[in-house]
Amino acid sequence: MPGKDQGADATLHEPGLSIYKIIMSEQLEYIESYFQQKLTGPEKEEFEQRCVTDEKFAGEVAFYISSRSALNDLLLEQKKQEWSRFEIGEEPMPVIGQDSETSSSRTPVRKINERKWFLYAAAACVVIALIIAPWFLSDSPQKKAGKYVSSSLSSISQTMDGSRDSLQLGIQYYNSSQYDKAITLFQGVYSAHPDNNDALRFLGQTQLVQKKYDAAIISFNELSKKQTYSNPGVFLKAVTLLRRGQASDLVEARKLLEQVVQGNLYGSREAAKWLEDWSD
Amino acid sequence: MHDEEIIEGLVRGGPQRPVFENELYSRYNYFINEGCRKYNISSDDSFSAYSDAVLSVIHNVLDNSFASRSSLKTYLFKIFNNKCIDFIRKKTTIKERVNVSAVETEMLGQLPDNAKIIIEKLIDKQKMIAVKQFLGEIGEKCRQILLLFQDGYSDKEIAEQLAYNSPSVAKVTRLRCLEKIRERMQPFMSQV
Repeated sequence: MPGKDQGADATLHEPGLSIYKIIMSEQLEYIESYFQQKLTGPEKEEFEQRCVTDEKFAGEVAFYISSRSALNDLLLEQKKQEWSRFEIGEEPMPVIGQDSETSSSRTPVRKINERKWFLYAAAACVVIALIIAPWFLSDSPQKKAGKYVSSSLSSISQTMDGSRDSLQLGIQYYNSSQYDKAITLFQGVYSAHPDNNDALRFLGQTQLVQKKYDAAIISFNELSKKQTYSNPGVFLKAVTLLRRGQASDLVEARKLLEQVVQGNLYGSREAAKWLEDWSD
Repeated sequence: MHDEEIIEGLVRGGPQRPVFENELYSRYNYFINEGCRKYNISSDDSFSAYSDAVLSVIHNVLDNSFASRSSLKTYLFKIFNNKCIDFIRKKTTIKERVNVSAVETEMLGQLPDNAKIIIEKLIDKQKMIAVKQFLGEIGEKCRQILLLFQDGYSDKEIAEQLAYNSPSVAKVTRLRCLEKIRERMQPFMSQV
């Protein structure tokens, strides 16, 4: 969150300020302290309680959030204006370590040449990729699992209704790579609603992406025991085992993949393909 | 230049920070073309999504949300893709509440569910428009100090950049600037 360090205590009690202004500024400071996580546990609870019981105070909190949001929009516009210069060629690309005089000697022509060079390099890469493609086709199951994690588990679809319950918020954190926050929310939802299989699945998925394999296996174990249509727990546990790669993991992962295919469970298409290419 | 150098430059802050921001922006601005192709959106829209993503990455680096588990490129690409998806969602849905800024979402996310529901109801589009309008009426100096704070600069850095005597003075000034908007919002607040 922006506004990282407020340092010293601000003194708002200066002569000439009306009592109303002092109270309002102190209130804004109090609200700011909450969002900067500077309040103690009891103070935090009191703040949250006031949001529920004191409508006027809730209005002030809503104002604070609105103003920070509006400021962020304005900030983004400012940054866009600054960065748009790179897009229309007014500004040479920045070169760290050079002073502005040296840096500005980079002409657009050089930039174009660099881009051409980049295109040639890209074309060469395509040719090389075609040559070594067969090697890629023989990826190990571990590699396949890795690719699956980075391609299929990179984001979670959100509902379109814009609702922001904790699960949806957790998804938003997941999609913006704020995994610790996502885990806290998914854990909270699942603890409160043990029948929410999505929360458990997303929790395991986040742990998997974070490479917390042992924790992810516990989550997927629990998920695989649930009575749910096309249970994803078994397949995701197999993926996690392949990623963890301990001595017996490969053997167990294979058994699970076979189970996925036989039961036509979630991930059966990938599992069938991986088993097909599996070499002992 | 390595990721670590960019991250260090951003975290170090001060007047040199924009140099590292620009380096980050320009290093991967070819994503903009990829966004156009992949999501079939205009270059302006893809540029907006990319700028928004770069700003998010900068702020996540500053508040330690970026834990360096992936490279800056991968991290930025992922956020950029999500911004493109958000953009399409905003365009294709008629539900007003989908159009919620990331800042609003993050701040609301800090509140427990019961408080969040109440505050969320109090934030409406009209008030947001009014706040934006009043931001244009509080004077350049005030706008500047509020924008620096929103950009993740500490009161200490703000005091140095804008020549205030101390971080405390910068903080008091900043809160008074916010209060100026708050005063103008009074008629809207009573509509609660």
